[in-house]
Amino acid sequence: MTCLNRVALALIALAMAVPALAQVELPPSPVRPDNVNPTAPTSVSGIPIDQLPPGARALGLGGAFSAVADDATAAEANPAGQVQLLEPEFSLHLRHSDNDLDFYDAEQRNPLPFTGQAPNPINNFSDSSTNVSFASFVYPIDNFVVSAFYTNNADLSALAAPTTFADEIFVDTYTSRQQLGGELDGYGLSVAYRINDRLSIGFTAKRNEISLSSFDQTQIDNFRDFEFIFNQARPDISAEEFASVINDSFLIDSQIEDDDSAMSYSMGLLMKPTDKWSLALTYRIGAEFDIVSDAVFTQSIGCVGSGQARDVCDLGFRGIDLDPFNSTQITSLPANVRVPDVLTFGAAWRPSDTLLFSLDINKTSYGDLAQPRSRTLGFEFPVDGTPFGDPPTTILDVEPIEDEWTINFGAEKVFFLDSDLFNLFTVRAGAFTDEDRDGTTLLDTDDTHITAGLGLVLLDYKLQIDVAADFSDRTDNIVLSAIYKF
Amino acid sequence: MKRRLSTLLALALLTAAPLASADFKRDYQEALEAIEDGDYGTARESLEAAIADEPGAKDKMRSYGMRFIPYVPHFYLGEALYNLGDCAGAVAAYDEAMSQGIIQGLDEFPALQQNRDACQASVVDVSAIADNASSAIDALEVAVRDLNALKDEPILASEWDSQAAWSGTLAEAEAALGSLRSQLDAAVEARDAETIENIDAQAMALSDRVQQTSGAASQRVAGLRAEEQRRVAQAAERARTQLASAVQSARSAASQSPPDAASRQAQNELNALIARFQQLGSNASTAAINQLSRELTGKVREFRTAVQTHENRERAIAARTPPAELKRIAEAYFAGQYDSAVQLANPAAFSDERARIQALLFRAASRFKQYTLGGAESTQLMSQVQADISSIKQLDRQFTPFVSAFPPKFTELFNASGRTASTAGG
Repeated sequence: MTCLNRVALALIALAMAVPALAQVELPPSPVRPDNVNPTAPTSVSGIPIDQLPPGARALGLGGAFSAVADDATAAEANPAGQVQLLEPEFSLHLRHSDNDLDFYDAEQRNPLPFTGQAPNPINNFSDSSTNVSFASFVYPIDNFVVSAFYTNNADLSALAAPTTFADEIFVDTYTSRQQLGGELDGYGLSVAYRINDRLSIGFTAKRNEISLSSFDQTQIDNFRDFEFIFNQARPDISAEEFASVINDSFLIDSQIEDDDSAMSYSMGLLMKPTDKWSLALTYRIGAEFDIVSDAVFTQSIGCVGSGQARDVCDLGFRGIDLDPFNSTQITSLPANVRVPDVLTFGAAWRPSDTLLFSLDINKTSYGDLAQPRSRTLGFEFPVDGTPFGDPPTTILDVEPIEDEWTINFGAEKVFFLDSDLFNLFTVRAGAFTDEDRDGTTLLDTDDTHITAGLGLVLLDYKLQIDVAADFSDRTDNIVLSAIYKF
Repeated sequence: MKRRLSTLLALALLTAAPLASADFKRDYQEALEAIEDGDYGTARESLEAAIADEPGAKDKMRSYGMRFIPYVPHFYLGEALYNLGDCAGAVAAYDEAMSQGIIQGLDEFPALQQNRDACQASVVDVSAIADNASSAIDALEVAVRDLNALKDEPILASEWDSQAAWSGTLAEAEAALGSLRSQLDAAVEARDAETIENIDAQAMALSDRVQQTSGAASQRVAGLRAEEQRRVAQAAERARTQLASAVQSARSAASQSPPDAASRQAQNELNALIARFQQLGSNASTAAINQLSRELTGKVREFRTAVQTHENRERAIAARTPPAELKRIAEAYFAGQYDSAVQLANPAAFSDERARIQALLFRAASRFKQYTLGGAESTQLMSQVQADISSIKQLDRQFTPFVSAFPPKFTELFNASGRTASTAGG
């Protein structure tokens, strides 16, 4: 491919870039634009939503809490479990998260059709946050229990390191930048009813507020090869020197700066066939947010810097005039962000009052969400690098996202303390699985989380303090909980 | 998905419904809350329910979540009963709590000791008075049974209905019997000495009344039985006297000569009855004696009636005389004056049927003689004869002429249309 042919081809591609974005699909995530939305940044998909039941005790049990659900966090874990509470309770939970999230940066595939090479498309978001993850007040009234709560299921603000690929042959520069920012808060009311001593039901309604601040940028510099044209005029000045003073840039920025609110619901059933066994069935209907995403296409031309190359640039050559020029085209499109529904079957077994084993089996409906996108933002190339113009018959890097079955299990052992202040302490351990749902074959994000926790009950069983940690390759969480019984 | 979820929920509800049963932890917790609220009645009920499900005490029982509490239901039952004023019950519950050995290690133990000591002084041993009350109820039961037996005496049936007091006492005693027994059980369980004593007193008082009623009823039965015996003896004596009189009358009748067949038949049957009398033993029942007396009297009356009837008939025959006109017809016939006899014999002139028959007979016989004397040729005469015979038989189909008074051929003619003539006649 000659230089001019390549430029012509690229110009055609760029001219089509903005409208072509409308066909771009987005990769999957626990929260991501659901429809085929070209403007939503790729990185929106990476926001980690905390789908585990809140609280350190639940985390210590590996999140297997639906059939336990016997504290002030039950409104989220299994609202039916709240009927087990006999006294009003207040709870406050702090969470510290360390996220180390590899993600697939499809934009880094842009130089591949031209150069036969491209940087590693795997990039990373890293962020730490500490916040109040859950707070609740539960009040039993005879066979009813009502509760109000606040929850934070996501809080991330991460800027990925920009990746730059310099094409030494054509002296082009491909730059990719991503920022992932989002916060998901909820305010809920829950009610539970004890049908009899063996069966209870519960219902929770939650208003969710999402705030997103993300972008996904790809920038291509010197793609039109003016540096080679000037180099022909002044061979004494290298193309690289001309490139450094020529501002020839395309920037495609898909960004979201928006917030929205939506309701989510969960209902639960708790059965106690015997004093030692309890069984749970819960269903959570995830929130669905309507957001606006902007696609910004900017091109700029001009001369920068100083020196002989700059002078040549200012003078122009063979009719090429690089007078400063900027154009920006913004397209706003609606997008949809969903939190998937989750169906949970739970079982808990207490061989004795001081020993607990619990198990949850979850089906998360990721399959109802949109499938990963298969084209780059920049040139709408297939993300696997199939050359421009060739039909992308095989999308090697993309894999479908399907409903996910996960298992949580955990155990808890209580030890009594002969102390006036401290009543007991608990040791917990658990694990849960996390399936691969990154939408690409280049990442293997399925994971097994190992959790561990400790608890302390004091002040005549009035105050309960728990701490638990969850360790995995992508995310580490530490939760500190306090529950006070009135 | 939503439909499948609904189905799962419905299935879970249906599956869980039969499993519904009491939760002793919840009962226990409710009892503790009730005690805190001062609602000791509710606390007692909840604790009894919890104990029924889980009687054993536990040092630490998981209430819910991370909350553990001591499970000492008998101690709290004692507390509830103590506050309800049931000291006996409280002491029993405290004792059970101590026997389980957990309460001694808890902060609640001093309260138990204090309340138990306070109650102990006021608690009496109810077993002795309970035995007394039970015996009193047993005695009442026996008295009721005896009175019921008297009520069932047939001799007293008519008397019982008129004795409202007896029925009232029995009904009251029967009703009280069951209730006193259950009251006693409850009072013993509650160690309620006062109630037990009340039950004992009630049972004894009622038992006395029932026994008094039984005594009165027994006396009445004895009186009625003596009266009945007297009545029976008098009836037997009266029967034998009547029998002796009847036998005497029978023997008198049997010694007479029976004047006709009917009296003879009666006399034979009388003799048979006399024979039955002679076979009658001294142990014969009054009914049998009365029966034989009635039969003898009846048969003597029958014999005497037959004799009397015969005598009356004989006297009537002796007193009977034919009408003068009929005598003249007979005299004309037997004098051979047949024409005169035919002329005199006008049956319509006689109101007496028998006289009319005799008139027709003599006229028929006279015309027959005229017929035979005329050479048996006059069919008119023969027709007239047959008409008269026919008229006679219409009046009395049994009538037959006296054979020796009329010619044989006439008799044959007469009988030709009827039965053979007998010796009896007009």
